[in-house]
Amino acid sequence: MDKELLLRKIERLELARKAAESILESKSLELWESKQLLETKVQERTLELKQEKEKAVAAQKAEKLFLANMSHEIRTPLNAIVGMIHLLKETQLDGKQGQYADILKSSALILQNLISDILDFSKIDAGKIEAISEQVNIKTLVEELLKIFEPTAKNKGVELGLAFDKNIEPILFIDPKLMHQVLINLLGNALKFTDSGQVTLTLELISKEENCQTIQFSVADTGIGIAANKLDSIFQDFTQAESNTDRIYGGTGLGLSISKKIVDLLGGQLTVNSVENQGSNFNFILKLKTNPTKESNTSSTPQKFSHSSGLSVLVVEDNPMNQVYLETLLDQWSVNFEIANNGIEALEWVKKKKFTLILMDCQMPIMDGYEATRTIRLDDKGTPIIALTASSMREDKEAALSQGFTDFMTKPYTPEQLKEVLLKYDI
Amino acid sequence: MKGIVFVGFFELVEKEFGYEMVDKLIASCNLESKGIYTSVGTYSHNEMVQLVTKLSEFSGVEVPVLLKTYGQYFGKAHLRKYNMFYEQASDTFSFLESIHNHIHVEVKKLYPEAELPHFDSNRVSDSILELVYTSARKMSAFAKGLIEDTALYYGEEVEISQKNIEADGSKVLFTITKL
Repeated sequence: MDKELLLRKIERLELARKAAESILESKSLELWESKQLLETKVQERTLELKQEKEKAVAAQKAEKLFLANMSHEIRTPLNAIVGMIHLLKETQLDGKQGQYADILKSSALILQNLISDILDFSKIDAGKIEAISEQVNIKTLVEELLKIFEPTAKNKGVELGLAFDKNIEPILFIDPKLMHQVLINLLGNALKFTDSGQVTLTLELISKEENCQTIQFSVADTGIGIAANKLDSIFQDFTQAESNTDRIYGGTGLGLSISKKIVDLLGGQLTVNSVENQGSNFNFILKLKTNPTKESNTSSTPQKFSHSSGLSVLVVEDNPMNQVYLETLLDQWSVNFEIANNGIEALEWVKKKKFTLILMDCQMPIMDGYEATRTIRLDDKGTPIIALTASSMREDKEAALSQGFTDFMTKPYTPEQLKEVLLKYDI
Repeated sequence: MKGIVFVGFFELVEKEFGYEMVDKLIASCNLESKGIYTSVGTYSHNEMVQLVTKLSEFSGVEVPVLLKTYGQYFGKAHLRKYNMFYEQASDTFSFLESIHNHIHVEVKKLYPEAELPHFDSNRVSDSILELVYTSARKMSAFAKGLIEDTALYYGEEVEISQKNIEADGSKVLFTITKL
């Protein structure tokens, strides 16, 4: 190659290199710019997502709070209604009036159940319910449970049976309240959807180990059954097998969903087998601890008050209807009491007089029950103070106990429940 | 037209005819770029037309033959660097079918200004593929060279027949038959 040609080649390649460099420079600038743009966009989107998430969490919280508040608001007047019905039934009523009062009572009970269903549901969802382990006689538990349903079964002409495997060691550890709730739901449902034939609760021993036994619980009925294509959806929230089921049979559609959640909580899995028009079988298997040593001594509470003259109860309650309810009951039981309309009045009474027990409403005007209790506890650590509240949230109970309350009673309460508390603190 | 096509062209010319031919082409064509090509640049298509025409004139080889030869060389020397596209296809037909919907989509991401030929494909049978080349550049012979190199890559023997749909060569039907 001659020199000139070579020089031209070198010059051309040199210029091409420079041109390429300048193109690459501008390309990398473009890249840098689009990287900046991307980074800004990612930051914007991340912020948006974060805000949306915060909004969603806040909305969920608001919903929970709304449920809790609503239940509180509903429970307060319901407490008065239930109380008044009890009192009304104890007055002289003629046949018709008695009948009306009975309808009032059963309707109020239905309403109470609905509210506790909705509350349970929101509490389980919020992870506020924990399973506790208590020593229980499972045989007694299920026998007593069936008694609740006997009148309904008899009325409907449905045979209600219990098949209790005799190999099961009846003393075991379980959360009796949750167990109760699941079986009540399942038995209630079975009876609701069965018009003839049987409803049978079966407890069968699957296996036994040292300190532990595996039991299958099943509730079988000969009722309307569930269509195969509906089986999957019946455990969903607010769902019933047929959309018109609620109109015929009633209910919130939460019962099975709550039961399933509770069985999950207890460590089992609720399943169903069903044939339409032949019946359903709901069952779950639980592995339960046993303690062969001794049965818990379920405190045999005395059925009569052992109060002597000079001992009395301070009722701190702002709602006049609830005051009347409490006054009437305490009068009936011949328990001495004083009434305070708010926390300030309560403090005044406590200064003047020594009480055996204080029933304290939590939410009151002027001074609420929490503050009053804190103040009383500055000088008096011993007097039992029972919180009366419309809230049944576990965390509210814990809050109350941490403020110095001795115990906790959820409104609406029946005369028996109040009596039980008074007996517990030996009035 | 992308600079890589020009750079590759000069490479082949220098290899086959010596650098003198490259120098002669630059001197005898009226090139806006003055023949200073870089693979990352973009240049007028008209320059390629001039260069190929002049090369045909100087070498006595017909333009379609030059273009087809260049297509074979270009495929082997440059396109195969983008082996991810080759690996995604299992044979010649599936590679050719992926040009329009996949390969050219990716090329456009990198070079939004690129003007690419259009390839419509039609699988007539297991062994016959029809490919319609559409481009105002009218470089179907170059495309044919590329198709031949593709078959070479996949180790397949094919027969390619070519028929103008538009008389000026801007739309051409290739019928590719696996042998």
